[in-house]
Amino acid sequence: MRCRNDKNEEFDEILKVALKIDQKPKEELNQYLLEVWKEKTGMKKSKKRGIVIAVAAACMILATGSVLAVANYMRLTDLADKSGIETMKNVFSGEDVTEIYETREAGEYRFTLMGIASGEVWGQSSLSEQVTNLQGTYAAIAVERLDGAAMPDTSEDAYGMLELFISPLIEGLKPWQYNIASMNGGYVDIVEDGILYRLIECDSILPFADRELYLCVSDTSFYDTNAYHYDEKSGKVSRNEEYSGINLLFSLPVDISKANQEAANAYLEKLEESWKQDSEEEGKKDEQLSEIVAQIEALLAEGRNEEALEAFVAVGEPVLITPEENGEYRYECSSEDQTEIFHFYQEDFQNGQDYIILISYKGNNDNEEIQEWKKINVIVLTENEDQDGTVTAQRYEMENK
Amino acid sequence: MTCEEFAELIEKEGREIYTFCCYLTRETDEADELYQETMLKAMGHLKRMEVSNNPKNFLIGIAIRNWKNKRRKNRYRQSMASLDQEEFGIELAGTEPSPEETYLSKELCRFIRTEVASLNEKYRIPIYLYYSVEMSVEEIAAILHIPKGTVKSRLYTARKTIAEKLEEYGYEMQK
Repeated sequence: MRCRNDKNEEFDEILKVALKIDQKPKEELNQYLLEVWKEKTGMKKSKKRGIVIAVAAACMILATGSVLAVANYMRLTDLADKSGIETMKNVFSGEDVTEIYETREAGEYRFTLMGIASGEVWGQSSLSEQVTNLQGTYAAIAVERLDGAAMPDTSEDAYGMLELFISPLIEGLKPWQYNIASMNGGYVDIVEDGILYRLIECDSILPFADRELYLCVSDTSFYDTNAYHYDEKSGKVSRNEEYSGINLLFSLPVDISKANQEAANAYLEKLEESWKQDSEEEGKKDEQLSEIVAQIEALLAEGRNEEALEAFVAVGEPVLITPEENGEYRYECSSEDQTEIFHFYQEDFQNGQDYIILISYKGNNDNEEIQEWKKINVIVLTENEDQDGTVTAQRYEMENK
Repeated sequence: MTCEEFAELIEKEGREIYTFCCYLTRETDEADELYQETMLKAMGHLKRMEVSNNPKNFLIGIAIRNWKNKRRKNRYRQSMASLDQEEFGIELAGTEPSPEETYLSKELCRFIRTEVASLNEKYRIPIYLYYSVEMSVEEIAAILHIPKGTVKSRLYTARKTIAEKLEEYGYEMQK
């Protein structure tokens, strides 16, 4: 009896070929990783400044900031409405909006920082399905082509051609660690009348109002250490003049009276703690569960079923399973949470025994966080002594109390 | 690990890890982000990676854990992802064919990729690990922290679903 007939083999081959694709990470992404590695291991040397500047200056046309006619752009409130994001709508129609309309040119584009808003907002964030009060910072940036051509719509392939990383940065905090990506941020792009508008949101930077606050705009997917300098002593962020791409840096005007060192420290502590938890907590839970399962498996493999199932209770009566024509056994295991059909073959039986271990999780839904295991079901499959090909399945269950 | 060794690691395993990130996220920007996070996190666990003696599996384990965390936290780019949700699998489905792919039609490969991409994650991840990363059932069980029997069952269910889709599509096995 065997499961692998010719068709199965052919099907396996088809899947293997179809799924064997080769995607290559972007060169700058690997370059960035190497830079970080060098920094981490103290191998990075300070970059020499000098002759490259002339070339870079020729490639980049950087105008000093100027104030543009607001009439060119959609109103902030209309933009927020169009985004369909509740927090954006609320914050940009509120009183704590600072309209800036500062424009700079870089490469083939004109970037306009339209406005910024910070504060406590009630609403449904783009980042969470829950309606909560959010201490957030929000900004709107318009991007246009200098040659007057329209920016591609978000539905067009060309939309993805210009990568933009737009993020608030805070004096004294390493920009590669603290930026929109790590500060629970997100963005929405809207293209209207050939202008690309990006609305961004992240945790509030208001508690840091007594520091210099920036908004970086670079043509990269993430924060790029090549595009900006960070002075570890002064904590200041500056543009890398030698960088050949787009690396703008706006100053964010925030009311200094809103600074709150205590809140700032508490936020940083909480944020850093959440980073640690991300990697450690789930790992620990996984490892604990793995240990339990490995122990059960080892004992079952040795035929020490009683020991393996000491903490388990038998559920229901043993079930007799007869193989199908192709030698396949099917066993349907239903518990209150899930039903799963298991398929196995005679060759899976080691010393006349096989087993299935099914784990259900608390609060488990395929799109939810796996909190903690709830139940372990072990189904012991034993070949019947009269060698007629039938198998007996007995289910055992252990609850995580 | 020296800088050269780290560069070598990226050179050797980077593509496969990145491809797997594409499979997991089904969206290029998110794949970039997941790949970056995975490699950055690996930097902090180099000793464990060296001890594991299998950097690829170690990195894939980190990628899966990161992905779970990311999904849980609904973090950065969630807003963008929500706009792109209707385009599931399109990136992967549109990928250039591999040399081995020549005997299967490009259209068929696209079809399979799209169907696999639309599978529930509990079936999708084992399928990718088995066929794309070419891990054994034991390795998948270890990396996903689930029993071998569960891996086998999920692979079976996923295969069956794809086979049915292929049949609907009109593909007939040659043998």
